[in-house]
Amino acid sequence: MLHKNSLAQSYFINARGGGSLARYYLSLGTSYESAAYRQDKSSKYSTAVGYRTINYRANLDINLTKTTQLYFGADGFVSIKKEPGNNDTDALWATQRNLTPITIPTVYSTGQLPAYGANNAYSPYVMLNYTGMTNIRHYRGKATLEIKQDLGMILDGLKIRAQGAYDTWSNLREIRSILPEMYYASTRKYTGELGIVKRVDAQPATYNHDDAQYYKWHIESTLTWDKIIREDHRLGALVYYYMSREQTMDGSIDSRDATLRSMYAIPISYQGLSGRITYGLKDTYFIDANFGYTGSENFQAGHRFGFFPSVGLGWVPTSYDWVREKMPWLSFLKIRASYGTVGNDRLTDERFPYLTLMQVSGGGGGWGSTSGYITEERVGADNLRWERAKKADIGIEGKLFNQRLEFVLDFFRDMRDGIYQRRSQIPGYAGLMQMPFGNVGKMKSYGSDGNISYRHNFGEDWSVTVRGNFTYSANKVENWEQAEQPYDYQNYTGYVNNAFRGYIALGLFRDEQDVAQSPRQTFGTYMPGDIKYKDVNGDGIIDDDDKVPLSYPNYPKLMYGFGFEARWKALTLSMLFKGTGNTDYYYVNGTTNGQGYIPFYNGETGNVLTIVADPANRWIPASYSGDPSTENPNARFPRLSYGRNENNTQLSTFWHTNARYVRLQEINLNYHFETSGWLKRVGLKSADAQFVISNLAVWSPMKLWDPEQAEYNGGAYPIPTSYAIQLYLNF
Amino acid sequence: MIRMRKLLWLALVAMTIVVSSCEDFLDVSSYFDDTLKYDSVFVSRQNLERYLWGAAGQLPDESAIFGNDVLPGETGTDEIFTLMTEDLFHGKALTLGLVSSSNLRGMNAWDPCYKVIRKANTILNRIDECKDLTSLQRAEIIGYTHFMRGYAYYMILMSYGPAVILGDDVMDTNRDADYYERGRATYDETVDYICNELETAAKYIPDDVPILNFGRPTRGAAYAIIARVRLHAASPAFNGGAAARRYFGSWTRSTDGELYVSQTYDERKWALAAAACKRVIDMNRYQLHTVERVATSVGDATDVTAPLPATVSDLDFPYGAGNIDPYKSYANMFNGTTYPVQNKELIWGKTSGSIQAFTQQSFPIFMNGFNGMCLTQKVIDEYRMEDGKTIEQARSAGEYSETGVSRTLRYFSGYRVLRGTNNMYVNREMRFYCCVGYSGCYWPATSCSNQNFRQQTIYYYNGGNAGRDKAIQEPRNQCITGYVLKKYIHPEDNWYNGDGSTRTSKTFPIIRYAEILLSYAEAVNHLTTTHTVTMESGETYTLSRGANLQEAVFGFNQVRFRAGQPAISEEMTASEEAFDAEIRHERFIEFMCEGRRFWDVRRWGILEEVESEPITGMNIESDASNYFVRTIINHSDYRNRTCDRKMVLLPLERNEVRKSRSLDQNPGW
Repeated sequence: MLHKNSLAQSYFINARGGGSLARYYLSLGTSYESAAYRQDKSSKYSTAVGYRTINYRANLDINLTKTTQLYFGADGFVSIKKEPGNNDTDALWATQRNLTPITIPTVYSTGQLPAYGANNAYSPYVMLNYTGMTNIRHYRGKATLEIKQDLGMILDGLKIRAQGAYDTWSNLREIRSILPEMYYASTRKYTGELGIVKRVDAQPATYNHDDAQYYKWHIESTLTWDKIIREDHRLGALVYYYMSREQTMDGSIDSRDATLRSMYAIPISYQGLSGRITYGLKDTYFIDANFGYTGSENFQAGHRFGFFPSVGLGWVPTSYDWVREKMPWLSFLKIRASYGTVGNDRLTDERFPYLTLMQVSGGGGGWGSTSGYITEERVGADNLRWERAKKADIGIEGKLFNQRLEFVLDFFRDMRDGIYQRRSQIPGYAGLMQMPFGNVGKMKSYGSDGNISYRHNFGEDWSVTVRGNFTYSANKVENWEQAEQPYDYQNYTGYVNNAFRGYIALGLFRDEQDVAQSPRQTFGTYMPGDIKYKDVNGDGIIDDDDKVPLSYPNYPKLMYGFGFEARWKALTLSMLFKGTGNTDYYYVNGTTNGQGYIPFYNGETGNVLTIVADPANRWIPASYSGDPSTENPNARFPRLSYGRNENNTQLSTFWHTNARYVRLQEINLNYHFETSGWLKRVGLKSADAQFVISNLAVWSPMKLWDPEQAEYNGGAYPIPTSYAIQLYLNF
Repeated sequence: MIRMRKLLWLALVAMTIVVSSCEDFLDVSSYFDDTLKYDSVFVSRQNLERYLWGAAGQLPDESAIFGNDVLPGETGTDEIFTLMTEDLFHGKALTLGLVSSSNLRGMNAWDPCYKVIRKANTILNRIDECKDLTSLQRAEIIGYTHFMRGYAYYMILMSYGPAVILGDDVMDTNRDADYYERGRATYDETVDYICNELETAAKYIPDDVPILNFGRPTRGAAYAIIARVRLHAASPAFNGGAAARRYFGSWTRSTDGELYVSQTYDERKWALAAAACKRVIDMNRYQLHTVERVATSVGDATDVTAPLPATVSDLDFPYGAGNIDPYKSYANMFNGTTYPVQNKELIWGKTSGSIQAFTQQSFPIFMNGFNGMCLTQKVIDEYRMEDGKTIEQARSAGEYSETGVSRTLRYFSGYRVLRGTNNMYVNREMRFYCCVGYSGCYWPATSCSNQNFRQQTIYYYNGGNAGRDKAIQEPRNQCITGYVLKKYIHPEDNWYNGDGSTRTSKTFPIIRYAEILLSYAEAVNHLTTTHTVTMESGETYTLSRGANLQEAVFGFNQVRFRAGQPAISEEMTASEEAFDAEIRHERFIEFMCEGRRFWDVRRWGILEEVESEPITGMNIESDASNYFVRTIINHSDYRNRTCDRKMVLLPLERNEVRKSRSLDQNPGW
């Protein structure tokens, strides 16, 4: 089915040059990556499955006059992706995840292809070789034109810059889809032949395509003024203006209701003016004041613009002479603080939520109407405004010991206010055709990030650098509108955003008596060996009201990285690790519902992991094994069921694991050499030879699949380990 | 200085460009200019009317009494027992105890009704913006809007009892939760508000609607719904006494301790109901639907009206049934024969796709039906004999038997009772033949040209052409009681797929004159003193049992005569209890499967009693030899039935109650 290895190649060339009048930069790159699938040689669709890219860039800087500079840049990216089958790559992995190795063979002994399960699922083998192919062609291009003018003749230190950019991409996806005849052998006849039934008829090739287009233009202009007055006073001012318009045109527009299509196709536009004034005294004290005045087309006239001011302060004690004298080991230290607001105008894909939309129909209506009817399609919300975040940040930067140790550390706290949310506290008797959006949510997030590095040279040939970085962030919902809930834990307010909510598992039911004496569970039938849940509210019934927030969300609060770089003469070895802190993960979750993990999830369609085969991991009834000890109440899997068992596939602490990990992200061995001799004569200045291994290993308590893709339960194209040999030639 | 001035000038130019282009750049109104905007709805009469009819279209469909019922339908009563899924037949979910405040099982009239109320309030608030209205048109729109608002509250009253009364408020769309907090009015306040709205409507809306606009309410409809609501409010469950105490005795408003449902009996409520009925009668616009008697064979011998039993007066209708065909007089209203605008009994009706669609449920499997809408034996037994005897009276007189078969083929009014029909189904009253599909019943189904699927005699015993063994593939399709509902089925109707099979269009009577007559009798019967009632519309009625009984009995007898049944005896009407029992029987039969019984058993306070009686039918597990034996339904859908007094009202949705602190849930839910 799969190759253990696949090959990726990339080539890249660039050149730069020019003189006093103009400078240029040109580059061209191409890459090709083959996929990890092993297709049959006989398959008609085995050719050229893979991913090919070409990218280019050309920049030109021209000095039009002594004070005027013109810049023009263009870059582009083309990719062609060929995939087997009529579905995307993840589907192939999802099918693998849904199939047990013994359900069907790749091909029946009669040479017929298999289909299985209630919905006639086909195997990954069939999907890979017999269902056609998909071509995705993507182009992205961008052109930028910029003029810089020094306005020193008007005012010393005054500069103006104007830039226009046009960005566009297009996407073409072609699907050539076929289906072979597929069969299912349910029995073997007494003659020994397979009892085979045709389940799927062959379908001739059909062709479909979908395409998407995008454009964005963006015009901006900045006016800056910088001046140092009498050495000590550093003054600066900036005015920035921009307008932009963008539009994405894809199938999502057509899928909208006919009366709404025109509205969703309206380009997204922004317009903003912002300014900054900075002042520095003796390079020791800094202050800057900013404002942004931004407008979005998404709001009602009069509410379109938001004003977002902020202020920052800085202090560099190392600029004092006495610090420099008393603490010579401290090369640089800066303490800074800022406070301000920023805005957000769309947290939902609803456009123009202030508008009440009407639906007009020529027919229908009640009470014998012959003139049709009009009704509200959507109820507009009064008083909508920008969502605001108040951001506070305190930071410290330092360089120590002759700049060998460098660090930056920041603490931040955001208070987001007026988050768009569909109202849910408006009672039905208000009679709204639909709940409108309102600026009602509130959320706090806070955390810290920083990095540190230490460099040490052991003489001329040896040097070592050690680096580390981290980001820690946490949040709490301060207000999330809900109908008043009977139990506090059902509120979103006061808990982490996107917290998992589920049941608290109390292990597995021991016996019939345990089942009888426990609160009634409302997810279908259950018996000894099934998961027993906690009756949190004590009402004797396990239902929705017993769902509690189960701590963290599925993204890690802490992310970190560390590594080192050691150089010996021209040889450099570097290693980079990255990792995360505790991350809650539930094998049964909203994305997969446990598919891929729970054995026989849909009966015939449903993977059985090898860990399930181990009896020690399962609760096995004594009546079956003849040994009461196999009724292990702490087993990893509950009583086996064929097909989905509602009781056991609820999101609960039973399925909890920790998806934290440390990944050996990259090992890089680099040899750099300056050329001499004939190489130099042909123009080669220097060269680098590299051996790069990425994603070599990952350590995690969750071993079944890559912890970064945990939520798919194995139904996604995995992150490969790649080995690359790279050669950089500098002419 | 010069430099500064230059800079200032530059900045000024820059700012001007920015500011002048600001609103224009972000303005999207050009995209909307040609689409209909909210504000423009209220400016033109045409749009305003479309908005009004659009609002009326949002009301729960009162004719959806079988499947997709928002107001609980027939499957929530003792009339119909079905094996079909409660996901489609919501009333069944109630009888199985599956309805809860967290799962309404599709029966949520609250939300759509309040949406309609908001639209009504919006119209009333904004009608002044409309420039092209004549004062007459304006009055009509206001009238229809009040009718709509009153009717939406009426639907809330029926399902939930006390309503949250909003008056003319159109609440803002985006305010804090506290802004929306409201409590419920009492039951009687809600009743008064509804009646008041309908009285206002009656001032402005016409007596007639154009034929094209059939389905639109009239002044008579407003008066008739008032009568229905007043009768409901006067009934035992809502008017003091044991039933009101049992259901609502301790149910008080949490904010001020006020009782939601009055626990003091007030006879005047019956007088209000009687007066409201009498006003409709006195309009002299409505009369019971009758079809002329076919005396002798003109061409088709099968079409002749059955001879009148000796017990029934042969005077001309309304003093007897001498000149009418009772079978057709009743059947033609429902099966799609009578053109609805010509039916003077129809105070308010509508053309119903739902009624038509669910006739498929009654057809046998081989005619592409489901055997699904099964009448209970209780309904069968409630039908009287042709001469007016109950089956018990007839049994003692030797005129009724559940064994043996008829030896004659009998034709009347185009209907035929075949030779070999079980004696249970012989000589029954006409409404029985109009409504009941029993084993051995003849189905013309003549729109289908295929001989195998038309003019069939349908048998429900095991092995019969619609028997249990034909439903092995889909066990829901067994005719579980041995009876199906035929009331809405025209002799030509056929669901067979192809060969010309069609179904006639069906009219659902939202309220018909027979109900007014029976309600009047019921209300007058309960009076013990004289009451004077002055209506909003100016009429004054002085009402007492003594003075109005004769008129009430006259109305009651019209319903009987129209069905070919004898007049009620004087000894029966002399006693309040006996007359009341006869009225309840008559409502049961006259309105069988018209969506009335669900509400009647509640207002009479007999819900638990009638719902806990065993549900019986014929022995469908047996072959023909042992089929005609009363048998308690052997199915888990029967064994799992529950009934609780809380079911007198439906629950409010759980979240609705949680959203507003002063909103109390209905008792028991």
